[in-house]
Amino acid sequence: MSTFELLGMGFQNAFALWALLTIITGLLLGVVAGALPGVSFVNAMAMALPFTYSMAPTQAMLFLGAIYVGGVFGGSISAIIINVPGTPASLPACWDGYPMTQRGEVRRALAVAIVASAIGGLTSALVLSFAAAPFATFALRFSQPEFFAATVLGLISVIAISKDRPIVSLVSLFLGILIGTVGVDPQYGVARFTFGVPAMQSGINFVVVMIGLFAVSEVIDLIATNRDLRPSEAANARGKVSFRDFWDVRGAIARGSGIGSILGVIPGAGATPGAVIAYGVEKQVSREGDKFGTGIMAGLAAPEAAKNATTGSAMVPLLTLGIPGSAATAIMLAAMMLHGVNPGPLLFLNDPTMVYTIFAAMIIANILMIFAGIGVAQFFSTLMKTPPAVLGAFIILLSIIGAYGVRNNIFDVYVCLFFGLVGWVMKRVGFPTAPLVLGVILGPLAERYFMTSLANYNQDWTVFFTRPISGTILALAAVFAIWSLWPILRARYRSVVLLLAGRPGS
Amino acid sequence: MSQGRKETGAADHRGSALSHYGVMIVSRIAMPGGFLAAALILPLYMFDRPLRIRARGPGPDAWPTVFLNAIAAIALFWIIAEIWALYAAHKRKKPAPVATKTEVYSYPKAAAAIALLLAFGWLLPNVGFPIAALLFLFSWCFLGGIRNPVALICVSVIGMITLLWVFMGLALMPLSRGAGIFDDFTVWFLRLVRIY
Repeated sequence: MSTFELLGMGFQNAFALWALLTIITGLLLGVVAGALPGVSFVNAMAMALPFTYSMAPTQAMLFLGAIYVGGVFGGSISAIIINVPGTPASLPACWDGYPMTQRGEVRRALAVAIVASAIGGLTSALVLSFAAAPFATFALRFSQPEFFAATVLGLISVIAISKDRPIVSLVSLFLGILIGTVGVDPQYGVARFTFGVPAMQSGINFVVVMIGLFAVSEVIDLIATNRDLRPSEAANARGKVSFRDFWDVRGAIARGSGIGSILGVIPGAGATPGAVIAYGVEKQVSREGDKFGTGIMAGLAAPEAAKNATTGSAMVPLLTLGIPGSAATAIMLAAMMLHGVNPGPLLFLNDPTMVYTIFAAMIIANILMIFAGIGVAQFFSTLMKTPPAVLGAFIILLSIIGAYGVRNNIFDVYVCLFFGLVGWVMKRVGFPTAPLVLGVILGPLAERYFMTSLANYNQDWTVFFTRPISGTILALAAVFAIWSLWPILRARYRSVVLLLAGRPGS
Repeated sequence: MSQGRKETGAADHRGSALSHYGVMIVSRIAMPGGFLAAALILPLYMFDRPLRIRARGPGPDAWPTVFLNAIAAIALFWIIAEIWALYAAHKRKKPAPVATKTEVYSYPKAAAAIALLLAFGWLLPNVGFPIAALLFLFSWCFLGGIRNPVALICVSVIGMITLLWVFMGLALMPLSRGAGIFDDFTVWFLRLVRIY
């Protein structure tokens, strides 16, 4: 049977009533869990796993797949509305989505985010359906040096988001990477920077840092500025959604979808580097790049498309090779194993019905996500009508519960509060917080890939440059850094030359 | 006499300009200076015990050391850049740009909010989530300007019970019950609201 025929059969199964209900339930669960900081869709998938025992294997995969699709988007709802990313991949949604909310354009921001996410997800679902085999072959060529290079590319994108302040952003990024080294080192089992505190041996969780830096500091600012979050009538008029909004960001969505679809295939890369790299690329490509961070729609659309584009492509290595590239796909692998399904090339031969039903369900889930997203976002956006004091109090409590829920540990609550204060001070002195969070998220991954690469290749550090894919990605990272820094370097060089020539200020 | 006064005035002006630049130098290099100092001091506290690993290749200190050195180097460059900016501003005969903020920001309110957060962090393991959350909701809303006692009580009580139901009842999260009599009280309260 051809791919089209198999996909047709998949659609037939996925449109059955039970399948549709499963997808809708999963989507709603995922969007809500993703939107709650600290709860996260991965936790929701883990909690949903026992419920899949009584389901048929295909239904279990549809349920978990729908939670995954909805959850990856859901994180952006809280990022856009209250500047608290529900998931790490939603971090870029804070940079341009929240400023739109502050201007009273919350509906517009949510609409762009939902549509961009849906198109990104749909693109990757189509990639999954038609190009799973070649993508899987590509992913198979990745080893530890390539994972390291991909992580470096994600870290380098900080320069692109640095808003003309690369030095401060780099310090912030490196501080984040250092915070990521706290705890027992993964290779030698030696505790670092624990200062004799036993609780610090388990490390500092990035979700806790993220909640503290964004949520707690934002709420302190909210109460200190007595800001009214209710959009004014003028802002409401500005915030009206039109087809032109989506048309204007078509390029950003296309680029984000492409970047996300490619990065999603790489095990370990995932939605966060995908979203951050897409933001960095868009900042360079867009004519409004210098205004990014002030509420530019392209800056919201590109990372939104990219992060949801990783959902379908992350299933490529899972289904074709049995390699889970992220925590979410690892849970899906566990579900498959529990149901006696062995993912891999043979799955496509032995049970094509199941495989193509999953493909079709991913396509349907991304379309239905628009409605699920609108519903949940509508509910969340009514929160803006709540008095800021009440809203702030609940954000703090949800944040603290979220921090506690990461490891059921009171120490994480203290870490969250500490980073809340740090974040508040950073905001007051104009020190960027986003690079720090990125460092805490990607730093430990980069260290692990770096150390294991050296261990696997006889401590030969040239391996990062001599392996073709790794070398190409690192070269791309270098080009990207120079491309991002070029305007700043050129301006600085000119001012120094003018000053030395005795014509200051001219 | 007049010449002397002029010279004294000029000297005063030079002195005040110098002290102005002195203050600016100190304030602008305080942050990078702090990072530089931290990057130089932190390696001493990397491990609790002396490291006894003979690693083949980079040891456990390699990765943090790279980034501590990078922070030190960047902080040094930052200090030089700040001094250069002040020098350039001095040559231009106008003060170096200083960020000005026009927003109305209540630091006493921010300080009170921080104090509330710290109090909540201290109370949580001691008195348990229900009491700590109730007190926090009440105090935060009061700080935020809500003065209607009915609204304050309703928001605090209903909000606390809703959070308990969602997280302890449905998500089965083991939130803190407090210590001693507060633990007993929390268990009694959780039974009262049918979570236990």
